[in-house]
Formats: sequence, C-alpha cells, structure tokens
Amino acid sequence: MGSQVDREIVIRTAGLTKHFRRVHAVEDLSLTVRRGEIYAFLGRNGAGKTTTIRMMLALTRPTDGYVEILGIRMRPNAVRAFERIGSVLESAGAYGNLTVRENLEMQRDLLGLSRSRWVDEVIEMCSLGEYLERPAGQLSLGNRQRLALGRALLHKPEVLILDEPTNGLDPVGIAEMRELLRELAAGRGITIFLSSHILSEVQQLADSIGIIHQGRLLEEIGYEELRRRNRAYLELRVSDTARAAWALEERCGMRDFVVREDRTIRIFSGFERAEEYSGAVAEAGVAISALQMSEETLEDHFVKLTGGSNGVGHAQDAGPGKKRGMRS
Amino acid sequence: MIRAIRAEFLKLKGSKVPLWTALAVVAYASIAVAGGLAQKSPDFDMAASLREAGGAWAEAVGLGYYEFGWESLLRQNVQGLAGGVGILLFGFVAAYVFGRERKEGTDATLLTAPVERRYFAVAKLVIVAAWVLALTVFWFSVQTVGFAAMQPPGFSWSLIWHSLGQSLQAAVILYAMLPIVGFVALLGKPGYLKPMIATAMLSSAGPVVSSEIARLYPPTMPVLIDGAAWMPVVHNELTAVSWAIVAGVFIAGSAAVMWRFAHTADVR
Repeated sequence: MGSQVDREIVIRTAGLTKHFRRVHAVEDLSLTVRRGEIYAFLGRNGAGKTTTIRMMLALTRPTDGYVEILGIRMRPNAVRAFERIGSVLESAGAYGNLTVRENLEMQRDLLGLSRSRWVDEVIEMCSLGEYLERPAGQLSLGNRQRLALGRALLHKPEVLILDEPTNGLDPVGIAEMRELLRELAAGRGITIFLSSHILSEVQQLADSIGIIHQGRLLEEIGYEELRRRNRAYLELRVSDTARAAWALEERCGMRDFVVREDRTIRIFSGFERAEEYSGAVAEAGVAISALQMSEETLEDHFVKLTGGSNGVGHAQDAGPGKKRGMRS
Repeated sequence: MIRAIRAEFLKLKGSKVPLWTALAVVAYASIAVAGGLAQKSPDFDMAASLREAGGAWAEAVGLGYYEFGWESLLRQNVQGLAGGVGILLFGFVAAYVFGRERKEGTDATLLTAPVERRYFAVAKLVIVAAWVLALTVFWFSVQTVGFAAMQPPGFSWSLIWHSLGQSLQAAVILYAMLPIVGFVALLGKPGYLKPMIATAMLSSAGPVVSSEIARLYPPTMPVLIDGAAWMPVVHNELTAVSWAIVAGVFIAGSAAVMWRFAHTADVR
C-alpha cells in the first residue's frame, strides 16, 4: 500500500455540490479513489452518501462541481464509462416478476455478453445458486443485494460503486460479502467505492476511508494512517512531556512513541515494560497523573470528527473504543 | 436495439398486467354482446325505444346503429374501441410500461447500464405498440365471436375485414397519442396516477367531437374513422391533414420520451 499515491486516480470528484432547494445535501466534496483500492465512504444516515453516489452515476445532476470516473466526465448516458462501471444502489432494483436466473440472463443479453463461464462464476461468487429459480420479488433484502451485485459484475467492470452493500445481510452474509469484495479488489483488480454507516465493517475492509458529515467530506484517511490510528497504545499523562520523552529514549531505549499537545505521550510497543517506563519517567522528576492502555478505534475517530454517535451503526458490538485503565 | 426490445418483452414475463388488460377487454366485450342481445330481443325493441326518445338517440337509430345485424354491431364495435374505452385501456398500458421502472425502483439499474438510453425509450414504444395491436385484435375477435353466437343477419367476410381495418386505424390514432402518456409517466414523482390523469384528459374529447375541428384533433379522430361520430351523431371525415397531424403528434411525443430518457438525471 506504500505506493498508493503513485497509482492512477480512477474516481475523482471536484467541488461536488448538491442543493435540494434549501437542503444542502452535499457541499464542495472533492475526493480521489485510486486503482485497485477499496474506498469506504463513511457517514451517518442522511450525511449525503447516497446523493454523492447518485451524482457519481449521473443519476442526480450536481448543483456544482463534477465527477470523473476512469477519466470520463460523468453525465447522463455516459455509455463509455458505464461499460467499465458496475453499480449497486441502496434500493437494489430487480424485476420482481422474473426469477433470479431471468434477471441475470436479461442483463447478460442486454449487454450483448455471450453465455460464458463467467456468468456461472458470478452466480457462485454471489451465492445465488440455490435461488436461481426463485422470483426476485420473493427474495430477502440481503439476497436482492447479492442479485444486484451479480448483475453489476456481469460485464466485468473495472470499478464497482456500491451503496450500503451489506444492507439487509445477516452476519454470515456480511462476512461473505466482505470476503467477496476483498477478492474482487485483490484478485481481479477491481476498484471498489462503497458507502457504509457501519464502522466495524469499514474498518475490516477499506484501504481508504472518506468521512462525510452534513454533506461535507471531513477527512480522507489512507490505509497506513488508519492502521496507525487503530493501534493499541500505552498513554502517559505527565507534567513535562519533553523531559518524559527524554527519559523514555535515553533510559529505556524506547522510540516508538508520539508526544501529544495535551501533555500525553503515546507508546505503541513494548507494553510489558510499562512499569519500567513509568519508573524512568518518575526518576527524571516528571509527575505521572495517569497511565492507561487504550485503543483508538475508527469509531472514536468518527465520533470525534462528527461530534456524536447517533445514527452510526455497528455490525457487531464494536463498543465506543476499548480502554483498559491502570490509573496511578 | 434488438436486445433492448427483447429485454422489454422479457420484463412482462410473469407479470399479471397483460392478463388484467385482456380481462378488461373481455369485460367490455361482454357488455357489448349484452347490448347486442338487447337489440336482438323481440320483447325489448331497443331501436323503437330509442327512436321514441328522439334527439341524438333517434338520429343514431336512423343511421342503423341499433338494428340487429352484423353491420350495426360491427360499427358499435369500432366505436367502442375508438371512444373513451380504447384510450383508457391503451393509456394504462403506456403508463405501466413507462412508469413501471420508476415505480419499482429498477430505473437506476436501467439508466446505469452501458446501453444508449434512447434504445430503452424506443424499446418501450415497440412494446406498447405490440401490446396495443394484440389487444385490438383480441378485442375485435372476442366481440366478433360473441356477436356470431347471436347469429345476427347480414354476415359477409368483407364486412368483417372492413371493420377490423377500421379498428386497427382507430388503434393507430390512439397509439400515436401514447408517447405523451409515456412522457408524463417519466416526470415528477414515480407512480401511475399522473399518466392516467393525462390519459383521462385525452379521453375527454366530448366538447370537441361535434365541432369542425374534430377531424384535426387527435383525441376525437378515432370516432370519425367510419365518417361519423356516434353520440352525438356528427358527420365528419378524416383527411390527409388529419393523418399528418397524427404522425406529427407521434413524432413529437416519441422525441420527447427519447429526450427525457437520454437526459434524465433526477432518479429517485
């Protein structure tokens, strides 16, 4: 992932804005997605995720700004772009009176694709085998999502744009979808842009994350940065950070730490030597007011950025950041 | 283009709507056949009663509309299709074909497919044409079979072919107006109400039918197919200009539908 910035930009939005009369759904949103990465677009319900995706797919006309995918400016009827893009929207539309097989066959025929092994592979990948003869209208929401993904994959797109792809899936289905998306990105080089409000889901899947709140892109975080943020650390709250840092380096040989502005030091390795660190700092004449093990999760970060946790979902009980305190 | 048309046909598979439209035809044909039975009944001399009623009814009887015979029954057959019932039924077909994608949420899938959007518009117009043609032939067949069971006098094959030809001409004029219904179905909020209101407006041609411009106004043209509108009885014939207007309405409506498909960017 180190060479991520060198890779081709596949999706670019610039100053993307959408106002619905007085409602500013998306405001001056500029993001970039690079080839082969899984980009998670994270935000609460109503943050502007779906509107952004609809503008990407030329289903909603921007008030201002533009979207380029694979170097093509997205406009209605951008056929050349859509030949290389697969998409699944939140509503996951399928023809309810047709069976799963007929829905897929219709799409295959519409796109002029020959009946190949790929169709069977798509059916298998999306776990649709046992539902082939069932009318799409009788499928659960989760299975409709699988069908929509199957349809989106039929023409072997280079880019997949997915709006809440795990919507309606059970925990096993979510795990399968995660694996499938990983395989599509890693094994087939498909660039995936997905929206989600499920933090734990995104955390396990994404190479990059964009956080949108009230229509504005608050932050884009790369994979390495995300990992760093998710690392466990030992936090010392001290009276003099400069002197404490000196003690850690000179007396303990510890360099894997950062000094923060709030008079804390975060140590990212060697946690079994916690007593040694506190002893060294104390011997250097620095008072320690708190010492605790912490782990900043994406959720902590998200809440910090957006100023609350309402409307944010959890695939599993992620909890609001794990903290194991050792107050002294 | 062919693939888009094939897809449109497949979308109807398993749908109950074609069956409903066929049942509507059977229901209407049953009423027409019941009317034929009333004309046949010696106990209920319909022609005499209407002659006594005077006015437009008496005039219609004078034109031979209520005499029990093949010619009269087949004329009523064409007028039934050409009048309000045909446009309501065909309008419903157009509203369904054009409005269904938006109503059922499949429009986004359709509009993000790597296929020229105007192909979908053309494919839908083709489906509506095929559906209208099938319903017209079915309508004519069901009523004709119903009439035949009553054994009216005056049968000839030339009468049958003439009446079928007139029914198809009426259907062509009605079909030419359907792109307008399709266009309305693509505007605003999804649903069938708006296009059906547009259809109802097209069917309410009453005030115009007795005027001179009836032959130039598409909603009133179908009832003039055999040279006279029925109730009120008006003698007026379609001219080349009438057919040019029909063609113009179809071309303008189709262009509007294709433009809307190609440029729509407010998918909900």
